[in-house]
Amino acid sequence: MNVTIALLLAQDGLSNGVIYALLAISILLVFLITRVLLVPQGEFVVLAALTMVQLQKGAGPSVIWLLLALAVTAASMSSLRAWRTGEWRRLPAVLAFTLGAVLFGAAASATPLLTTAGAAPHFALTTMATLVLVAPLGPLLYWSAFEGIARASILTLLFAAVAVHYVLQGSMLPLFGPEGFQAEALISGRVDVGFTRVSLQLLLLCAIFVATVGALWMFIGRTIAGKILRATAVNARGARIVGIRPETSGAIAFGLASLIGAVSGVLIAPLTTLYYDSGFLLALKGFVGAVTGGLASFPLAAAGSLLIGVLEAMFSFQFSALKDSLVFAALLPILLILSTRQLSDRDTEAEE
Amino acid sequence: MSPVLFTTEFEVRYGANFAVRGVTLTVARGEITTIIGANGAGKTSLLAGLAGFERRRGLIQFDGRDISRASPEDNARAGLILVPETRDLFASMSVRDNLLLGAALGRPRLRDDTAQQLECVLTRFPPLAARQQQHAGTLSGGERQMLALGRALMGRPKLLMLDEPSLGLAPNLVQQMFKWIAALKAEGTSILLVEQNARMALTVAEHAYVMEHGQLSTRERAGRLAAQGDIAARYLGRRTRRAATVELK
Ligand SMILES: Nc1ncnc2c1ncn2[C@@H]1O[C@H](COP(=O)(O)OP(=O)(O)OP(=O)(O)O)[C@@H](O)[C@H]1O
Ligand SMILES: [Mg+2]
Repeated sequence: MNVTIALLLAQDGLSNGVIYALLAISILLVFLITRVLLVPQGEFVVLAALTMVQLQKGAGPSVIWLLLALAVTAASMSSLRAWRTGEWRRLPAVLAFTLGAVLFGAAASATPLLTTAGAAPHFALTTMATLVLVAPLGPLLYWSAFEGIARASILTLLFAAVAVHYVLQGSMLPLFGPEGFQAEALISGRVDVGFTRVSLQLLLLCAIFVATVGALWMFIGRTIAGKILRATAVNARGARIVGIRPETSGAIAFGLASLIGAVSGVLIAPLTTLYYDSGFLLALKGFVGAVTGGLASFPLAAAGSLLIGVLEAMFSFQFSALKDSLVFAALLPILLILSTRQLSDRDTEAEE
Repeated sequence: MSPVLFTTEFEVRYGANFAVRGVTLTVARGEITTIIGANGAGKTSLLAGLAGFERRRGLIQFDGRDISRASPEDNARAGLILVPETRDLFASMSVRDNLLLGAALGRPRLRDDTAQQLECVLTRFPPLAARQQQHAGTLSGGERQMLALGRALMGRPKLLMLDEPSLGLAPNLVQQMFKWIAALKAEGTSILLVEQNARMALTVAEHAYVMEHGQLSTRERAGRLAAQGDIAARYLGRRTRRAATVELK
């Protein structure tokens, strides 16, 4: 491997790393607020990518059926909960969101009709439609499967997340078929920056990554709604004492995750070929990224994810068959370091 | 005038164990009502249960409404505000954000004058004003207590439930804390005060209960209770046992 190749590989790796970072951030956000390890985050990404491909081809998006099914489940589960607990106050908002998601989703499904036959649909239009179809899935999933067990142990929540992952993945096979898909790139080509040629695709990816992370950071750190969300993560009981509903925080966290997942899907669609079952491995890499941040720090999680992307690209060039095992082998030393650090933290706390 | 809080046949259970049972409690408007009792008597469980935490049963009326099944969030929004024994501050957020969150979801009509309310709380607790941008987790024990009380005040409580506000404070701060509590009452806030520091509690309160093994005594005037021989021996003898434990955390 010479320097030129290494630099090109690093660029490839960074592109993937950006996606992993977005996954890691969403997984971390959801975990801190709801204690759910969101295994289905990968499915959001793949759903968005495959939807993007379908819309570019002028086909109707299959994801609308999943949206409808989840909407029905979410509405019935929430109504049932309201009836059982006698707590009706939140139901109207949940039903309004669900209905809105279905109506907007139906409208987005009709976008292929807007383009004249033969002409390629506009990129902005397909992107918007993809986001509208995939972003609402998070809250719908939360109301369907997670709100009812919100107080269960982390292990129970993890099993639920794995179950939901398999349900989603299983339903994606009949919806999208077993073939792989890759979307058309919005831009191609490279610019010369002296020591190497940087792909425009990577620059666009980085710009959108920075914009997404920046928007999230502004929301969480600067707005009162974001602070309310953070309060749940910092001290769930304290949050309830000031009147913050954990269920609302949970639904918002899931919504941010599916929104970021949808953005990631749009970004990754032109990069690689994705299959109906590609989500799991993506989520696992996002999880490794989140763990490099100690399941606590967003900047570390993002940095770790970028590193994973680059390492993976290098590995796949040298030992392509081993690339996934090498990435996950990297998890073990990280966990070791983290656990020794936590032990020493506990010791210092005990001394105080 | 109807009491701000009334509960009867109230119980709190952890699994099969009763922490609170058969409790009848009245908190009159504009007064301080105190509950004194030894460790493990069930005082914290009673307050947490009233606030909507823990498994509970029985009738609770707050401000004329039945809140027997209300969630902690709904109670907080309605003005039934708990300052828990564990404080439950947002440690990695600034003092100012902690205070603002206290008002963020309060009664809608009051949200407009959040800025004014913040000003008012910061004037009341000067050490907090000097540390607005500091993380709550870096505060001293006394400052944390002030912040917990300040955050509760931001929500404009109709009834403030204080769980051992003097716990772990240096003796001079204990005096100060009870002055603040008396001042709040003078401004018209109703208060339910749980204390191990029975001497101080009985001094500021109008009415008092003694809690033992999860059960409450009958309601008494605080002065008369303090004068009772056996109470004085049991709860006032071990003077400032807790108060002497300086800055626990
Ligand atoms: N989460 C819990 N799970 C099980 N039992 C509990 C729990 N919390 C409290 N208890 C038990 O309930 C009883 C009452 O405890 P509680 O904390 O309410 O008493 P307290 O009067 O506030 O005591 P202290 O003065 O020490 O604060 C105790 O026997 C305690 O062991
Ligand atoms: Mg207690």
